[in-house]
Amino acid sequence: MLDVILMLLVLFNLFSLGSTRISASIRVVAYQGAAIGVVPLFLPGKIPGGILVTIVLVTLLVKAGILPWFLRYAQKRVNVRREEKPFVGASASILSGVAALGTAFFISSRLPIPFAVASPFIVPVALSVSLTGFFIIISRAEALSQVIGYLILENGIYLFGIALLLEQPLLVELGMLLDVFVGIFVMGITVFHISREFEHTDTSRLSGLADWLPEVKRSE
Amino acid sequence: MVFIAAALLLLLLSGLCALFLNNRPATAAALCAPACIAGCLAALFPVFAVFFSGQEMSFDLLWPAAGGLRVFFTLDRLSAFFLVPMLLLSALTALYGWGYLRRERNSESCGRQWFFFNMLVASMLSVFLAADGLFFLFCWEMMALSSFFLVVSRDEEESVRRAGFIYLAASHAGTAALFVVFAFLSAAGNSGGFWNSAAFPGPGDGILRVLLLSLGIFGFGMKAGFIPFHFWLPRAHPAAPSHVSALMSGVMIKAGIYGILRMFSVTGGGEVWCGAVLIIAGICSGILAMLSALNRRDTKSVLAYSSIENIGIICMGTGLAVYAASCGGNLVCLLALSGALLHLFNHAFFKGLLFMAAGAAGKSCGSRDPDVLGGCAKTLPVTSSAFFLGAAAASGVPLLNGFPGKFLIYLAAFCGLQLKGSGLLLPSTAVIAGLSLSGCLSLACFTGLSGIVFLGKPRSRLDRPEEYSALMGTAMISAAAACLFLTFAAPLLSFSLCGAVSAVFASTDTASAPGLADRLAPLSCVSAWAFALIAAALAAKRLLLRRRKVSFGETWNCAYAAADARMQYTSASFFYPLRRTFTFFNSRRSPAAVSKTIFFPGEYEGDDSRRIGAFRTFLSGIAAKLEVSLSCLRWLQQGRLHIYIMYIMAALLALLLWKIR
Amino acid sequence: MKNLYPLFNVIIALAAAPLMFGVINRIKAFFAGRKGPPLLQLYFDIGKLLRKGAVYSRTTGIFFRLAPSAGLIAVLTALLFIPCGAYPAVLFFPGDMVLVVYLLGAQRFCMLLAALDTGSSFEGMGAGRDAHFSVFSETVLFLCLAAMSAASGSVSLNGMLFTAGGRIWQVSPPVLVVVVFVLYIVLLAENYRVPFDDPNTHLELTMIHEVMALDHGGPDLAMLEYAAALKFWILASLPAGLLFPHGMKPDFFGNAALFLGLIALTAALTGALESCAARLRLVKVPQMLTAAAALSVVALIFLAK
Repeated sequence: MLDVILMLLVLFNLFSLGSTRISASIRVVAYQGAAIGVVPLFLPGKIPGGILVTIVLVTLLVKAGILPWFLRYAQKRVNVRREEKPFVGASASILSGVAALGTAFFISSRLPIPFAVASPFIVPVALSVSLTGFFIIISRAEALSQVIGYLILENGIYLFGIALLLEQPLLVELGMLLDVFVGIFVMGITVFHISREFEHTDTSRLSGLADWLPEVKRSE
Repeated sequence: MVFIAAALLLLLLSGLCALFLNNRPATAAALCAPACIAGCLAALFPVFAVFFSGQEMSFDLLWPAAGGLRVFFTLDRLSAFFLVPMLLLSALTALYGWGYLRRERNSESCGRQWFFFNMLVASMLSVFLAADGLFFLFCWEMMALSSFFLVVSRDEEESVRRAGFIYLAASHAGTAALFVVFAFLSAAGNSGGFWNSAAFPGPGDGILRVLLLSLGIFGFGMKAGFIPFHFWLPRAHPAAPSHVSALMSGVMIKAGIYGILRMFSVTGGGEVWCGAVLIIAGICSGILAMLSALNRRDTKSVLAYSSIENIGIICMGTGLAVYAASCGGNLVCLLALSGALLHLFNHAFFKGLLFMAAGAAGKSCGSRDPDVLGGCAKTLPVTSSAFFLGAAAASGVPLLNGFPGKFLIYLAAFCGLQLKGSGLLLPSTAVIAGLSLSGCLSLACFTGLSGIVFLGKPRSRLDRPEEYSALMGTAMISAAAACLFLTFAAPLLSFSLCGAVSAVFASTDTASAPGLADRLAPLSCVSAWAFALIAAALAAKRLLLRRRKVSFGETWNCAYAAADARMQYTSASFFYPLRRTFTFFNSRRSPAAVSKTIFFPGEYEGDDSRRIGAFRTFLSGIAAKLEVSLSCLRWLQQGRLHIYIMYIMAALLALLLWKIR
Repeated sequence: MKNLYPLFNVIIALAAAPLMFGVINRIKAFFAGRKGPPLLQLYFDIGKLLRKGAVYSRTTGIFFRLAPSAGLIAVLTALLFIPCGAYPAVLFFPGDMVLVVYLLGAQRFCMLLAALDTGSSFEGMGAGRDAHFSVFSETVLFLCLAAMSAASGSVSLNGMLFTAGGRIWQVSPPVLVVVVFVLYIVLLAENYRVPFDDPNTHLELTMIHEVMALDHGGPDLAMLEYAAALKFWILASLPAGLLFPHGMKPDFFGNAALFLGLIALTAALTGALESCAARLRLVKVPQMLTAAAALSVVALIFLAK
């Protein structure tokens, strides 16, 4: 059953890489969060039942409920439907996602993990989810896409955490959740401000960090 | 050995005589072509002896008069395997050249052409036999020079001269690298033949071994023509006369593969990274070459790119074999290298056939541009059937020549997938994906090319084309017959295949020869069965139609009866979907059309020629790029958040990978 | 007698292949609220065509007359290597799946050249598009076969679908579900069904396979249609073979009925998809097939563990 969930996570990754519609990506992030939230139920561990259920419920609430709702609210406020000009096209993104999966498998086969994990696929899939999140941040111009990428990245790190930290997960997991929660709220507020100030949320046009600006050739 | 000496003597003498017959094309051809054929057939006797029996021969002569030159011939199983297609194809192309050059009107250089042709055949024969370092390089250089002079036969054209220059420069760059390798090896002593020397640095001398292997791959790769050393091939092969192109594509680029295999045999099987490099180069060659072959203005240019693709397939097989030998997959190694060698053998024949047919069609129709031709099949039956057969073989149709070699490489990759934990998963998957992609692309390319050149209606007002020469027809029919024979005779080659493989990788043994024949035999049975069934189906259809009305009309064209020849699909339209999908590799940005009004399109000037942009600037851009790169470094500072995050991620990933190494 | 069972299975396949197109059309009619053509319509069509004469275009040459027969024989030969449920294939040897895919490619070679032989721009267009899509669909098919080979430990189709049998599912069930899904996408692509091509329309914007058969008539067209039906059967046998319940160990007729049922289910699914989904834009087809290729590579990566 755990393998089915991990395979589903990989499929969600590929879907989020391949689609340019923001609402579809938000839905996929919600499903991914739900899937990750349920994972602790299938891990053999010494966590007492009550705490386990609490963790699962809180994670589901935050990852699959609150954060996607907030993103949808932000999307309506900023009124953006799809990613207009991604730097990497859909097919190339999917192939990069597969390459990221292969790299994740390669890395995890060399990582010295001192104890047994529930399934040989957990660590590679967690790494691949993080790499996918990174890739989405790098390859998309729309600010909301970057937030989605950050969420996916945090999903991957979360999965990595609960897979390996079986002993004392509660504090660590709740701390991470709080961190994500706050980060998303800050990002959402920033997105509102950007939209109000510039009337667009295209981060590729926000290049003020450089003191030497290259000639940006925009292919219209 | 006497036969080989006789053959060489015959070739050289007839060539020298031809130098005096410059103004008489018919006589020069009538003298040299039969001499060449006779020489090749004579040399076949000892080669077949070694090919089928497996015993080796050698001939050693020290020639102090020529400055201590050591003429050392060794005919072992690997050489015999390469020599059989070489000699047969040389004989066929000589026959073809006889017909091709006999009616040449600019006849000033005919004698010279035949001299260099015979020199080319003689030097190729010596290259495959040579066992002494210096002698090998001497023959290699002779081969390069004679082929250069043949390429620039029609030197009144600027493009031909340029093609020749690029070819010569590339060839000498490769030879320079080879000089370094051979100088090192012969300094360490050369008793018992060069290829047996244990002078190559063992796995212990890390950097020296890597350097010599890289230089060897570079030097031999320049001759073989896989990416990134391919840039001379698409210019040189179309520029040469057709029989020379056939010989060069069919045999001369295989000399590069021969050199690489000999190098691996000396180094005890090569290293894992060699295998990986060859696999990557093979996959890139296979795919990128076929993408560039789409929509060319010259049929021989398409065939040249197809040669690069087939060399890519051979490299994939060789690379997989080397990789597997270092990983312990002996069966995979045997199958992969046998597949590569078998494909090499078959490719000589079907590519020779294709070049001969393309040249014949060009001569008959007066042009080699597919967009101007069309409908030739009805009046050029021999040429068109030969081209279709060659095109079917090149596309990998299972009933013909080009399939058994690819089949063995596929089988090797699939067997590699079974060996879990030996690290063969990634190369095997890459080989499977690369082979299937390049196979499909070559199917698309060759159906498009042969359909547009030979089928349909003529796209321009050409005179009714006729077969150019009966000699050329005979050569093409013989090559086609050889292709068909090889489909059914593939199991017969398995003994010599095993011998050739064991000459390279000493760990595989010849006892596995029956296993290889068993794997190839089903293919021949299926081909025979399929041909018989097709004949039966055609007979059945004929029987059905005998009592019924068979009439003739115009093409349906959705009831549009006034369709003329210009409404047919041209090669640009046929390949448009493919080019559009793969624009990343293929197009050069044309300037956008500037319109003066909003209603009508503006004037537009663009360039439709395409090359693989990145590799086109490989040599010419290096110097320029060095100059620009200093100011180019400022490009790193983009000012965009995405790029900076990418830098962070790349650094983290690199650190992680470096740590877990 | 038992040795002849594989041959009987081939005969059943030859007889039942045209039925599947009838199933598809019936399901489409059901979705459309019509009664639809009879289930055996393709048999009637082939019979009618075999009784007709032929009209050949003056532009075409000998290739046009050769191509339908050669294509049919290629597909027929490929059929001999497909195992049927719980019985082995008639012929098998290591690497036969490569031969099967390339035999289907040989049929495509014949079709493409016959289309270019007519000198018609419609057929040239269909040929160009078919050549384009085949680049992707054949690669995806090979990657699926690689995943099946890695999962079953065998290099022959017979080994993958018959010998490994139910054991293949013990390796990693979710991975094989992905492989079955990708095989289904390849089935749709290679047989020119929605969402890759709409077999119903005869407008030039949407035709790929139908347009290449425009100028054939009489026995030639009968051979083309039958070859198309056989190709559907062959490509549907791959996921059907993976999904076959080997644990049941049925007898000969039960096995045939079960296999036929699985393929009819595939046909029904195809019909339902054709009724409910729209055709993809032609530029999106390579993207879809690349996604399918990515899925099969993911399956391979998971199987490597």
